[in-house]
Amino acid sequence: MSIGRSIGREVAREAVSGAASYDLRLLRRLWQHLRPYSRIATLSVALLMLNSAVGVIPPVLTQIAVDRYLIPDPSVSSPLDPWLPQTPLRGLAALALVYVGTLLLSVVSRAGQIQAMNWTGQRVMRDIRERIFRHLQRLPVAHFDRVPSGRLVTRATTDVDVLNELFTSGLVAVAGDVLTLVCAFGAMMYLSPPLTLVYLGVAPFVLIVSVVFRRYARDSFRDVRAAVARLASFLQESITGISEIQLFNYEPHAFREFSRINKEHRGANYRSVRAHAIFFPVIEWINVAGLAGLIAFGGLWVVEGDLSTGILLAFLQYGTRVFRPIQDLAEKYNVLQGAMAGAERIFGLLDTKPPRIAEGTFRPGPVDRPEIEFRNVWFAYRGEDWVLRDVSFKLSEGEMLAVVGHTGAGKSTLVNLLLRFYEVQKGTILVDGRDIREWPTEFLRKQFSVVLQDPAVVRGTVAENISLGDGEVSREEVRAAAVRARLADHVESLRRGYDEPLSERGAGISTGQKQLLGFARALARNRPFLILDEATSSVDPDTERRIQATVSRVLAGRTSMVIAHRLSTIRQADHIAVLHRGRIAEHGTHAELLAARGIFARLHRLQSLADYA
Amino acid sequence: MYSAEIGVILVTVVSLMAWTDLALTLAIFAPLIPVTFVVGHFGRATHSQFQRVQGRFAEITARVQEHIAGLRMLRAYGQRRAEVDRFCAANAEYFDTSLGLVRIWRKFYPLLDLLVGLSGVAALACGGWRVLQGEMTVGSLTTFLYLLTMLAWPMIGMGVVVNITQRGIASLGRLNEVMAFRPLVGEPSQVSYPLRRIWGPIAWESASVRYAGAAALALSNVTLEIPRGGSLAIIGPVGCGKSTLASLVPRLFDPTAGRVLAGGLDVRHLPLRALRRSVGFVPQEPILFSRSIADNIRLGRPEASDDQVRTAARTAMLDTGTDSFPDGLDTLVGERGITLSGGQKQRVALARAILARPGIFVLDDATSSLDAETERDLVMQIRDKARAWDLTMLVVTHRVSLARLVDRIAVMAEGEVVSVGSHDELLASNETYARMHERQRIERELASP
Repeated sequence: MSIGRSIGREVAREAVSGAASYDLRLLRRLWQHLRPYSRIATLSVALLMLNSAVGVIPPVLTQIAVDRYLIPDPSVSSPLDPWLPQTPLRGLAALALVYVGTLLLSVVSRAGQIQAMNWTGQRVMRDIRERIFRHLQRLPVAHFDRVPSGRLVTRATTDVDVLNELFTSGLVAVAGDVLTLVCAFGAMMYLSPPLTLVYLGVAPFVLIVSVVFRRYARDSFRDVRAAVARLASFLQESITGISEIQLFNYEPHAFREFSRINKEHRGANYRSVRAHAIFFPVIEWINVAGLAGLIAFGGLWVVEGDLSTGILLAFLQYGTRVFRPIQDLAEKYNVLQGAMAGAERIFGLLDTKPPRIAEGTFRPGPVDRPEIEFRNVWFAYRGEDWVLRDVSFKLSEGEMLAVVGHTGAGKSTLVNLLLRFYEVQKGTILVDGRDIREWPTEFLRKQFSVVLQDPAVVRGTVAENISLGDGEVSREEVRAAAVRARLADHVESLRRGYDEPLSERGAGISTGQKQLLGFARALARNRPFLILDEATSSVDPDTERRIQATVSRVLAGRTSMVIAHRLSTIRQADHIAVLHRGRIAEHGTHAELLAARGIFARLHRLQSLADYA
Repeated sequence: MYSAEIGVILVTVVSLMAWTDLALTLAIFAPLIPVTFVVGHFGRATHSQFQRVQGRFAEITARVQEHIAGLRMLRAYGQRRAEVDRFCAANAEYFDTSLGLVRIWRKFYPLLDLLVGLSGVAALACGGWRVLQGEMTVGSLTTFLYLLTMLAWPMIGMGVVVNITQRGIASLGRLNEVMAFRPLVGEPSQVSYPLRRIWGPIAWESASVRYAGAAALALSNVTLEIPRGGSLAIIGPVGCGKSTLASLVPRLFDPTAGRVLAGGLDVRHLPLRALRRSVGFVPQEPILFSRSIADNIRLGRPEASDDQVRTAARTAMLDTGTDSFPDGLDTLVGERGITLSGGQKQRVALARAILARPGIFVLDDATSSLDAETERDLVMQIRDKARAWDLTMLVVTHRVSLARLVDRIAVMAEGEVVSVGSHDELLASNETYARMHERQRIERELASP
C-alpha cells in the first residue's frame, strides 16, 4: 500500500519537474541501445522512406492524366510517356493500374514499417527494462534503504514506457513527417520550380506561427501537467486525512479548496485548448492563402500557356498534403519533451555506480570449520554514530548463540554485517576462520540459512516461495520442509495446495504463517550456518506454539546465531550475548546471566511479563 | 462537439459532390463507407488488447515492488539469477502482449490507407472517364479531387468518435459506482436535539462493534461512564479494542449493538456537525496537510486569530521557535516544506483539538511519540485545563505512567473492560495491570543511561 502511494507521489512530483531540455547526448545513449537492432531499424527507416516516396506519386498521376489525356498539352512530358498508350481511355486505365500499384506498395511498406518499428521499439524497451533490473541487483542494500522504493519502481516501469513513446510516436513519426515534406517538395520542384516558389511564399508564416505555438503550447502543456499533479496530490492528501477533515467539520473548506484547484486545472486545460484552437485555424488559413496563391499565379500561367492544367491540379493536391505533417511536427514537440525527461531519469539511475566492494577471489571448498567470529567490530550507518562498538564474540561448530537486547541495541545490524549487506568499518568478521571480505559474496551467503524478522513473500506459488525457484530445492524437499515447519496442514487446506499463488499484499497467508514459511525456506536447504532474527509481532496462541516447536527443530544441531525475543528460544541457547547500546554488555550461559542480576535478568523479567500480558 | 463537426463536414462535402455528379460520388464513396466500420472494429480490438498490456505492465510493476520489499531475504538466499530470470520472463510476456497490439495496428493502418487510396483511384479513373465522355468538365473533376481530400479524415473520425463514446460510457459506469456509495455515518434523518455544543457525561451502554468480515467482536458489550468534567483512561495491549471504544464518541463509526451517549443523549440523534465540533479527537497518527503549521492548527476553527493559534500551540507544548521551524508558525509542512517528527505532529494535532474548543476531549494514544517525561507534563497540563473548563476527558494509552494521571482507569482485554478503578486499586486488585506496571518500570530502567 505504502509503495503504491509513494509511486503516486513520485509521478506527481516528477510531472512538475519535467522541464528537462532537449539533449543530443541522451539521443546518442538511446542509439547505443538501438545498435544491436540496427539492421531491422534500418529496414524500418527504409520502409518509411519508401512509404513517404510512394505517397507523393498520386498527384503526379493526376497531372499526367490531365496533361496527356484530358486536356492534352504537348509541351509537358513525363517519364512514363514511353509506356503509356495513346488512346485516352486505355491511358486512363493504365494510370489507374499504376495508381493501384503504388497503393499496394504503400500498404505493404506501411505494414512492414509498423511491424519493424514497433518491434524494435518494444525490443529496446525490453532490453532497457532488463538492464535496469540487473542494475538494481548490483546496487548495495544501503541504496534501497536510502532511496524510496517507489522511485526505483517508476524507473523500471513508467519511465521506460514514456521512452518507448519517444521512440515510436516521437522520433520515428517526426522522421516520417519530415520525409513526407521533403518528398512532396521534391515532387513539386520537379513539376514546376516557379510555382513551388510561389507556394513557399507562405513558408515563413508557417514557421513563425509554429514557433510561437510551440512555445505557448509547451508552457500550457507544462501548466496542465502541474495542475494534474496538484489535483492528484490534493486528492491523495484529502483521502489520507479524511478522518481529520470529517472530525473537524472541515468538509466545506476542503471542498472550496478542491474547487479552486479544479478551476486552475480547467484554466490550464482551457489555455492549452485555446492554443490549439488558434493554431489550427491559423495554419489552415495560411494553407488556404497558399492555395489561393497557387490558383492566382498558377491560373494566370495556365491561361498564358506557361503552365499545364495538370501541374496546377497536382499542386493543389500537394497543398493539402503538406500541411498535416507540419501540424504534427509542432505537436510532437511536447511528446519529445516528456520522453526526454524520462530518459534522463533512467540514465541517471543506470549511472549510479555501485560502490567498489572488493569481491573475494578465493574459492573455498566445503566449509570444514563452521565457525563465526566477530573481532572488535565497529559500525555506523552514518558518520560517527556508532551502532556497534567494539563487538567481539565467537561461535563454534554446533553451538547456538542467542543475542538479546533492548530495541535499537544494534542486534539486526549484526546480521546486516555478517551477510555483507553493509561493510564493517573497523574490525573483522571471520567465517570458517577467514575474513568475510575474502569470500566471494554470493558464495559467502550460500553458507547461511536465513530467517529474517519479516519474511517477505515473493510473487509465485507456495512451492516457489519455499524453493525460491532456483532449482536447488526439489519438490520433495519443499514438501518435507513444509511438514517440518508445521506449515503443511495449512498449505494442504488451500485450494491448489503447493501451487496456490501468493503475493506480498495478497491474502491466503497470515503473519504467523509467513513466519513459518520463513522457517520452511531455511529447512529446505542444508547449509552450515543458520541465522534467525525472531519476529516480535504477536500471533495467535496456536501459531505461537507451532513457531516455538519449529524454532527448536530448526536450531537442533546447527551452528546458529539467533536474535532472540522468545524466552523459549533464549533458554535453548548455549550462550547468550547481551547487546546494550552497541556493546556486548554481558556474555555467558542462561544461568550465569540470571545469577548476575544485570541487564539480562531485567530483560528476562520483562519478557516473562510480556509473554503473559 | 467533435461528432457534430464531422457530421457537418460530411453532409456539406457529400451534398456538394452529389450535386456536381451523383454517379461519380457513389463510385468514390464505395471504398469510404467501410472506413468507419474498420476504425470501429480495430478500435475495439486495440482497446481490449491494450487492457491485456496494462495487466502485464501491472505484473512487471508488482515484480519490482516485491523484489525490493523482499530484498534482504532474496539476497541472503542468493536469488539474484533466479530473480533476474523471473523478471525477464514477465518482461518477455509484456513484450509479447505489446506485439499483439502491433499486430492489430499493422493491419489497421495499411487497410485504412488502402480504402482511402482506392477512392482516389475511383475519382481519377471514373472522373477522367466522364470528362472524356464530355459529361464533366476538368474544373468539376478538380473540385472532386479536392473535396475528396477533405473527406478522408471525417470518415476516420467517425470511427474514433464511436470508440471515444464507448470508453466514455465505461468511465461513466465506474464513476457511478463511486457515486452510489452511501456514507455509513451520516446526519440523522431527524435531529431530535438541535444542540450547538455538547458536553459530558459520556456513556457507553452495552456497546459492541464487529468489523466487516471479522469473526470476533472488536468491542463486546461495554458499559462505562465518564461524568461531566471527569477523566478516564483506557489501558490495555494492542488490539484490545481501546481505540474502537474511543472512535465511537465522535462517530467515526457506529456501534453494531448498544449505544453511546454524550450529554445523556444518543450520539446518533445529535446533529453530526455539532457532535464533531464538540469532540476534540486526537488520533495516534495524525495527518498534517501540506500547508503552514498555523493553518494545520486552524483546521477546526479556520477563523481563529494568530494569537489564539499561538496560545493553543503553547498549551500543546509545541515549540514554535525558529530552532524547530524556520518560519515559526508559518513554516510549511510536507513536500515543499519540512518533515515533522512524530512527536511534533502529535503536538500540532493536540493544538488543533485545543483550538477547536471542544466540550469533550478524546486522546487516542495521542502522545505516544513523546518521551515519557514530556508526555506526563503535557497530559497534566491538558488535564488541568480540562478541569478548569469543565471538559470531559478520555485518554487511550498503553502507558501506566500516563493512565495514573487521570481520575479513573479502565483495563481492557480482548474487547472487554475487565476492571475499572483508580491506579492504586488496580495495582492491588488487577494482575494484568500490575504486570504492565512492572514491565514498564523495567523498560524505563533499561532505557535510562
